[in-house]
Amino acid sequence: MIASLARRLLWMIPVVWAAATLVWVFLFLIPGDPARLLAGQSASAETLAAARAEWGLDRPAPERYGRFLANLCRLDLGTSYVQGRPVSRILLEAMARTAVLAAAAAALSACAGIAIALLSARRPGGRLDGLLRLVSTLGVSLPAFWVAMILMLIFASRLRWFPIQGGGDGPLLFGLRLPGLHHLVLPAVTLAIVTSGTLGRVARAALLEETSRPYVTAARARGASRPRALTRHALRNAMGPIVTLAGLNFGWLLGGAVATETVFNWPGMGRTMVQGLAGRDLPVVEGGAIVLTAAFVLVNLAVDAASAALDPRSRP
Amino acid sequence: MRLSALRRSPAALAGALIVASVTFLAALTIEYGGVSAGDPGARPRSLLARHLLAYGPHDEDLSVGSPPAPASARHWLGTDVQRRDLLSRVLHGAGVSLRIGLSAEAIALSLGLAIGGVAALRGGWVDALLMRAADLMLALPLPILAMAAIAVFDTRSVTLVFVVLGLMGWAGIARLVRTQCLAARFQGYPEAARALGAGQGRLLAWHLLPAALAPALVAASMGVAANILTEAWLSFLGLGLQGQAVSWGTMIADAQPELAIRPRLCLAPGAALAVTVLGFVLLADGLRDLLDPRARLATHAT
Amino acid sequence: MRHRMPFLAAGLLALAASCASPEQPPEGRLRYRMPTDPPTLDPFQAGDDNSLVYAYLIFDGLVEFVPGSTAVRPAVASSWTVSTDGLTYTFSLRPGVRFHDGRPVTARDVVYSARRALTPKTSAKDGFFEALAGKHAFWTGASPDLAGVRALDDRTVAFTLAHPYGPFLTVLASEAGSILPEEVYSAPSQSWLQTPVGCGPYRLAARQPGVSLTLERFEGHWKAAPEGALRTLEFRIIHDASTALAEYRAGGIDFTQEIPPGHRAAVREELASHFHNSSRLSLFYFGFNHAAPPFGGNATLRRAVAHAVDRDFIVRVLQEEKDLPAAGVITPAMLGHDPERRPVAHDPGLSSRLLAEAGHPEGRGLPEIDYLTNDTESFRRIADRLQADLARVGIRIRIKTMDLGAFIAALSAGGEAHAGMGLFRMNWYADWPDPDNFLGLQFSTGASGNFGRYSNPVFDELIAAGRREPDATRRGLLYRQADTLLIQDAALVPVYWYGQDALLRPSFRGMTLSPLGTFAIAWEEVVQGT
Repeated sequence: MIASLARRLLWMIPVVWAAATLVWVFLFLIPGDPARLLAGQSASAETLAAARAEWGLDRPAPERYGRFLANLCRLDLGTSYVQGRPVSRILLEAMARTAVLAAAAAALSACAGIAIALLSARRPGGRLDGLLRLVSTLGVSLPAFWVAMILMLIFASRLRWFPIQGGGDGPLLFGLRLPGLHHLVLPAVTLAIVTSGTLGRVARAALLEETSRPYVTAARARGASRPRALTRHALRNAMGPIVTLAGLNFGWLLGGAVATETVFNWPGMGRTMVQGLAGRDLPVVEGGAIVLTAAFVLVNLAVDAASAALDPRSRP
Repeated sequence: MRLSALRRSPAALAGALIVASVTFLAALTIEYGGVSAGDPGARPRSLLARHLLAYGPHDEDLSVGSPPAPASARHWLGTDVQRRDLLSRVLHGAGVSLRIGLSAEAIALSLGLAIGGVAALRGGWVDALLMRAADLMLALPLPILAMAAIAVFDTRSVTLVFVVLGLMGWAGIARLVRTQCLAARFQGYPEAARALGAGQGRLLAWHLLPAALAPALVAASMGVAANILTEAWLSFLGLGLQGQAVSWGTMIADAQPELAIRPRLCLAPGAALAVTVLGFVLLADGLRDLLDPRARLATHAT
Repeated sequence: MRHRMPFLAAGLLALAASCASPEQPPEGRLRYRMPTDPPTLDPFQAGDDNSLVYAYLIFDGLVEFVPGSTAVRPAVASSWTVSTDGLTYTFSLRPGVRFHDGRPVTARDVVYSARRALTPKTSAKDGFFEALAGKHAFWTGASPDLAGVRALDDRTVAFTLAHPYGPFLTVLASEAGSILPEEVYSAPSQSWLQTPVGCGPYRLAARQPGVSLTLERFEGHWKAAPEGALRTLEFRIIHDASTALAEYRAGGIDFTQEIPPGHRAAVREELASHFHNSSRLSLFYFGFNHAAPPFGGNATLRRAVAHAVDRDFIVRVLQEEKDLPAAGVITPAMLGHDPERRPVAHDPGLSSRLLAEAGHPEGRGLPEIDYLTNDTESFRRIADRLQADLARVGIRIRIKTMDLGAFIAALSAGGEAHAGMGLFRMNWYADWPDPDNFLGLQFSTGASGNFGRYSNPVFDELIAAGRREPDATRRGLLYRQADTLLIQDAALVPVYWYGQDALLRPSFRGMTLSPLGTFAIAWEEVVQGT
């Protein structure tokens, strides 16, 4: 177990290196001069040259790449061109907000998925099952940013139940401002809508597989109703795949909610990366790709560990 | 797979119908290909194109006095502020979406079949190397990488977008293909074929890949859906298609400010997008049901 | 327990919904919508509208603009004299002006600030001080001494010009005239990157990058605060204009300066008492690539393009009448503007004839021409319009949209990077309110803003004469002549002079839009009360 964990952690090194190098190459090739974007159209050549020299953009490519890797090894992600702050700090703040959103969305979608599965499994093949199956499939097919716009129109602009945009001011945690609960609802629901479909189907399949096992039949023979047999016995054992998928969803949402974050003006990783790319804030985009890669690998690791712990077959 | 099998899976039937209609519409838009605004020289020739699509993607109806015009008999969904027929533009969007979704998946599928097949056939260090590469792909934050890769090019064509998406989508299929090929290998037929003198390429093409093709197609159908969605959100953010191609994502982005006043401008391309993606997801679902007898057993057993 | 999770989630949702209540803004606070984080809080680096908002509020200069106009009045300087040859400006500093850290402002700070504004490493403002004596030698590093600025004593500072330059005071009133404390801005800790220090009416109180930035009134400011003055300006970052409008309607912000497309008429009607509009010293135009065929050296072909453009449709329908159809480069309310001149007529017939005259009847023999633009919804619409208008007379263009970074890079590289580039879109905002900034910086041979590589010796001579001319009326006539020359030569196709819209809650009074842009609004003079 420990050895496998260590191997997985070591595997992170080539993965992070690959992501960092790919993004570095893309950003090296990207047209547009950060200095020009910051200083404006009327800036003179001398001003631009001074800014480029300060950022080391005037150095030859191998030297820039070498310096980038050396800094990466020291876990130094550099300083943002636009904000003048350490990239690590910028990303920490963005990651905290994105993690809260992703966790809320993953939890919501797990709940919705379980609810769908429980309802479907009462009468598999029945009308309700078919309807829920269609709804799940539809959820998977909806573009998240479009759902976000429509939810915003209905629940924020028209009904005014929720704030329109932003992360709000939640509690402080280790000096990091977390988003407000009230602001969290619409973005989390949006992401839950587009992820719960898959989860519902996996949960349904897992549940049905469990219900065909002898212990459920035995429980029913002892007089448990079908819903009770489903929830008390089958669901508990079907949690493995559900937790696995919810965890994977969480990992995916860390870097995959770019458009939704943009629509809701959610100050998280996705919006930071989009704005960094548009404003040619190269250190922020590079650092963001690295952090997201590492986070994704770590989340997958944690998910595997958790599902191993939840799988009754793997228990001693 | 017989046609009657489709009847047993309403999902597959619905998916196939949607995909077929969208493909048909997309095929019609080809007649308008390369026609830029107001170009009187090239009109679509076929009767169907002229009546179903009615307008080119950039045709302006100069008779519209104060754009955007509301829905009318002439413009079923009205026009946008540029006096262009909304319905026609939505239909033209199908062409772009499908070209990107299918072409990207064709690249991903070919790469996946080749890499997965070679890995299974060669084994040893080749296998280890290729599968590590696939693991690596699967661990990368692809949405972010796609954004950065596309931003390298200052003009972004349909081809650019589908090549980038295609190059990023092969890893899952490669793993699947490798597993299937290995399973087929253990069944011994390929060994027999080799004993009869078949070369490696022949072995791969005739004996291993057919076993892997069916599940790979299911994955590819889901892949098409994912590609279409990815293109849409990239274009929505202004990081995808640019220029003259009609993208549903761009249409939604353009209509976003007017969502509250003229929702049709935003709802129409969004609904078209959702239905198209739904078609491919249903198709994948149905194919899986039909191709995987075990899954069917599971549903029938209860 | 696990199966109760769905109900728990539903409960949480209900809870969240029940605590929804519109935010009540406290007195004396303005919540200002800002589209992005400011790229910089350094007034000499600020090149965009967002950074300039902070530059104008945190920093003061010797003189300032009268709110809502381009006239100049005393600020940190209480008075000044101009020598009879128009070359030397001597300013007396107002007593009791302090920086945010409490230190009094002296003439030495003015000298330090001018030197900083003319050092390539710390400034992008060199173009503002072209007329200053010794500017070039100092900027290029040839001389360590900036001859044109001298502190005569603690409270007196003199600026000397190389030639008379009428708008010099407006340069000092802009962000380029900001006064910075030397000991803060030369400290190696670079604390000013995070906490700027100036002597302006507001100082930085808090900052949550990507989310908000808060300024608080500087109590030691030399201007007395009026009754009900704004104590707090809270800038909230909302990238999207339609999101901002929805937030404004919901009561979450008090000021927004951009109305999203399609909403203008409705907003004007619905929020009439909130709505402000004025013209702005800026221009949107189509530029030609003069360095290459087909437009280089072919004025007839350029005129054919100019007459094909349906400017009225762009202004009336696409821009929803926010802006004015442009008849030339020099905007209204700027020296040299000719109120009599009408925009070039939209006349496809004439355009076709000119096209034939240029040797391309119905566009025959013309290649497909690239039109470069950056990718925003509004610019996309205008690009489509241009394409349709030109197609009607037979000129085919290919629209090349790119993001802003790539667009500016492509323009800076000119025809070398894009061999097919024939047309591009451009907008120009006045850095300081003078036609020299508009005409000279964009169309003089070799100027840094001359992206189309236009070159015309007659025009260059007019601009040079304008720079030397001390008399304002005669200067105005020279620039008017230069502007006329550009239009006759079809050096560009002016499309519209910008207007600016803003929404401000009516409980705030005394706000006047500045022709320079919303960044120059004097918020310290705005009051709240009923």
